[in-house]
Amino acid sequence: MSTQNKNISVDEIMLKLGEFPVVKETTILREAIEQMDIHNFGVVFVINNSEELLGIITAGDITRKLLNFQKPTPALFIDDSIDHANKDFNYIESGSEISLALEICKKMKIWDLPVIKNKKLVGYLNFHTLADRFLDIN
Amino acid sequence: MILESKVIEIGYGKVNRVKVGKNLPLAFFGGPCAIETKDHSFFMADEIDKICSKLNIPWVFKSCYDKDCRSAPDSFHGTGIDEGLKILSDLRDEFGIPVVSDFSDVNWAKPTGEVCDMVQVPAYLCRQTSILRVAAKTNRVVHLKKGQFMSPWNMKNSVRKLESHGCNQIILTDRGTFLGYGALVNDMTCFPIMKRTGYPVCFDATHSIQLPTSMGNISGGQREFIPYLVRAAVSCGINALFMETHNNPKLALSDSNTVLDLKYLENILHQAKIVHETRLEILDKFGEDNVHPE
Repeated sequence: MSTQNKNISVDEIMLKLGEFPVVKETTILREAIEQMDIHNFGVVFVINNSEELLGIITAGDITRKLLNFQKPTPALFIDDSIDHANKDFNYIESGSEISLALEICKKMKIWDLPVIKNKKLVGYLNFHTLADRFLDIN
Repeated sequence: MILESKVIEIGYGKVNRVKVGKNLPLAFFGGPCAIETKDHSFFMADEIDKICSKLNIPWVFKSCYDKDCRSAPDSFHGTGIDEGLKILSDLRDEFGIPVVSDFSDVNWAKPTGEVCDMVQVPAYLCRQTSILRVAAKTNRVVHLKKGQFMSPWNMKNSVRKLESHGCNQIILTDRGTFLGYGALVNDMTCFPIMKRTGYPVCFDATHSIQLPTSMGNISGGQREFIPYLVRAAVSCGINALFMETHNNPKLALSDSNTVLDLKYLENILHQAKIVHETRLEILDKFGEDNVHPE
């Protein structure tokens, strides 16, 4: 990737609200998983009524829940999304350079990064977004 | 999301206030299944009040004016709404005790709420949106029974229906869950599960020992198991205990095979009170939520 590319803002290439899965904290888990399926992403972001990001649920989290959490599936499905969200998540501030986003992803070994502005979720960066932008993979 | 536990206060006007929830004393909801006559209701209220006063147990008089879920077409339905609500209103004035009756028709909710301190949604109707909507609109505490066909976690849907119509004064009650045909079973984990809604929970002991329609066109029951189930439910953290009681069960006009004989009421309530107080002492020492599921 060129130095010029690394200096562009995350806002330029992030997915905007409506283009990725977002649910409210009291949305039941089944509907959250459904949103992942509809958008074809392995992640869903959990927000409150003020659109502040409260947590993230990944497909990997769901897989581990199914293996370790012995609740009946219908009981798991009706739990609030926030009950199963990772609340200690990494994020990047809106306006940051893409190089910082890449550093965070590399350091934390993650592929998904929410973009935050004044605590509110405004966008989503993931590996595919970056690849589409910087690699001529088509 | 586990919501903060709420304390629900039952009562308006000049009657005693009964507070239910958190670590408050165990409350009792009881009386004859159906209102039979004014004299009988007053006699039962007087007898139960003596017992609850002696044991220092806050209580609510429960009796219904129209039992709409009887098995046989000619079973006793009740006094009807007008006479029944008049008796409940007079009883409130006479004894200063809050009262509760169920209702099973959307048009009955408003008059029921105008008299009763708490309105009860029958178990069979616990997911009916129209019933829940009008129950919420009464602005009274809603006593919501878990349907025998419902899982405890799905009661959250009914709670959210009530909340969506402005009701946040709810008590959730288990009255047993269908085990195949003609039998009920009690899953004591339903209490901590339903408590996750933030509302107090109650155990209906006398309907839990019912054998639904096991006698052809009436329901049977196994009263001998009432004390076992009461002790188990109280130790699992219920905030209120519901039991229908009658001075002569054989002659009771409704649920004669399940109502608790009045002569046993003091004994059972005394046990329940001791178990409740012991549980609170145990919680003080060990805590409650001390095993993580994963």
